Amino acid sequence: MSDADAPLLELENVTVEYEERPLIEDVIPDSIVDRLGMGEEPVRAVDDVSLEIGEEDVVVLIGESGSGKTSLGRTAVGLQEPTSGSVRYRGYDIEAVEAGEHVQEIQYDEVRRSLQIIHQDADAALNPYRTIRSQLAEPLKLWYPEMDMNDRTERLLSMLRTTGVEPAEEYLERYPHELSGGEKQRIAIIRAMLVEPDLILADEVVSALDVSLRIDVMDLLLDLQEMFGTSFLFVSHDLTNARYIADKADGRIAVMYLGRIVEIGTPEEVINDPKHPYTQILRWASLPLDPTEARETIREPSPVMTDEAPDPRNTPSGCRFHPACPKARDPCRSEDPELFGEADGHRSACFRERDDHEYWTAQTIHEREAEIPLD
Amino acid sequence: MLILDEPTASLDLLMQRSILRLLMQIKDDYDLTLILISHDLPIVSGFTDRLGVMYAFEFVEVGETEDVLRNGAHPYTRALLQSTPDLDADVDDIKTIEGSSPDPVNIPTGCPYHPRCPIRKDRCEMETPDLVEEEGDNAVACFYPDEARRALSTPLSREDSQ
Repeated sequence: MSDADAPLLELENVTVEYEERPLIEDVIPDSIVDRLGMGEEPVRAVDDVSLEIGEEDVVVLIGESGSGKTSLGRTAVGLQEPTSGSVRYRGYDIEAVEAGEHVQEIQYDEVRRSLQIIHQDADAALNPYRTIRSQLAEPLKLWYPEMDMNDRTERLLSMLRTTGVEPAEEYLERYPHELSGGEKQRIAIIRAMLVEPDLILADEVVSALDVSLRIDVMDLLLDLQEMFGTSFLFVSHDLTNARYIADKADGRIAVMYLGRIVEIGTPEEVINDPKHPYTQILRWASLPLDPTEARETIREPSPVMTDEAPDPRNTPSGCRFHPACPKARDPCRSEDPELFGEADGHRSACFRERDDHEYWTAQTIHEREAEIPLD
Repeated sequence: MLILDEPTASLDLLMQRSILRLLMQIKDDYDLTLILISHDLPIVSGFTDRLGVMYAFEFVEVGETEDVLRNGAHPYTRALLQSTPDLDADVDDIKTIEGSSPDPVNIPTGCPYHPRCPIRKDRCEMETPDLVEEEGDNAVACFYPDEARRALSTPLSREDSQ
């Protein structure tokens, strides 16, 4: 079932669906619900995604709201059960381990400890009525019951110092409201790191912070990643943050659109040489700092061919990006492209990757084929 | 006149761009004056004619957007540019601003930026610099604007020198 070469985490053909039932359906019988046609289609947040995360690996998931990046992240760390497909930790299926299989080799507790999360909103993640000491001591008490109070305090102090929260002794006795936004996020990061996890899901951890603080917090995460050899799965809607983290950590960026990874590769590949039209459009949408360029770009009409926002309740046929894609041609309406390219290389889910595909001889689905302005 | 307070801060990238374009159109069609409050420099860069950089409740630099971004003198302006994770910049050149943001009830004496300023001198701790007009319409609240320009590089100053 498992072997030593198994990757840290392996997502295979993972699909996540959410049932969306209006409240009224809970009080009337199912037969009536069916007859009235009220039972809604489930929302498919993640659709058949496979991804491997190795030791000391950094993967950034980027995408817009509704792209499924958060659902995929939560599934990866075992907070969300996949509707189908499997998530394997060091070769063991997490659901099976939770159900008590493989108890001789691995306990579910170990999986839980190894996969941690840092939330976007540090305010909501911290308990306002408890001191930093009491909140940070809790995971240690839970996972390391043999540790005595002095050891715990030592551990907390060294972690606070490592992350630049000083004077550490004073901070231990403070309450969350006595901390700044950046400090709260540091405490939340420390809490996740204390139990020495193998993989941390960092869900939009810097997007609520001031621009000048973002680099600070990302640098901290990068330092910790190097120090402890932890793997990170970052979720972000911001290309610049994604590139910063992935570039500095030698990681990969995966671009998600309506539940699928549509492009994956190194930041160099994905940001500087985007292949998928959706990634190219995201690249176009990120304004440059240079005022001359920014002024020109800001007035450019959007290359997106539809005004409708992508809706996971209503996924288009064929390539899910085709109604919005300026490069869409006939086959895109009916045929669903896989991720083309080498397994570990730069991959894109677009027929334009295949020189021999009938796409190249087909007609555009729009009045005319538009260009995506890229500098 | 229309005041926009972080109008696109919580939006997805593509929505952000279409809102900005819409605002530009409204501005042109109705001859509006817009005040944009933002911490997002690329948006400010493409959207505004003039730019005021604030630190600890005060303007530290005011001027034509293009001039301030390309040739701004205040060390805080330059540090902000340096900390912007621009896609065209080399990631190793992106640097955070040292120190922590000013405590609103306990603003430092003298120049409020002096505890974080890499080129601070004794004078900066004692005296508060006024916003002084330079050439053109730009004004900067720093005693040592020329030294700041020389000593502190930004992504745009590097681009110009290439």
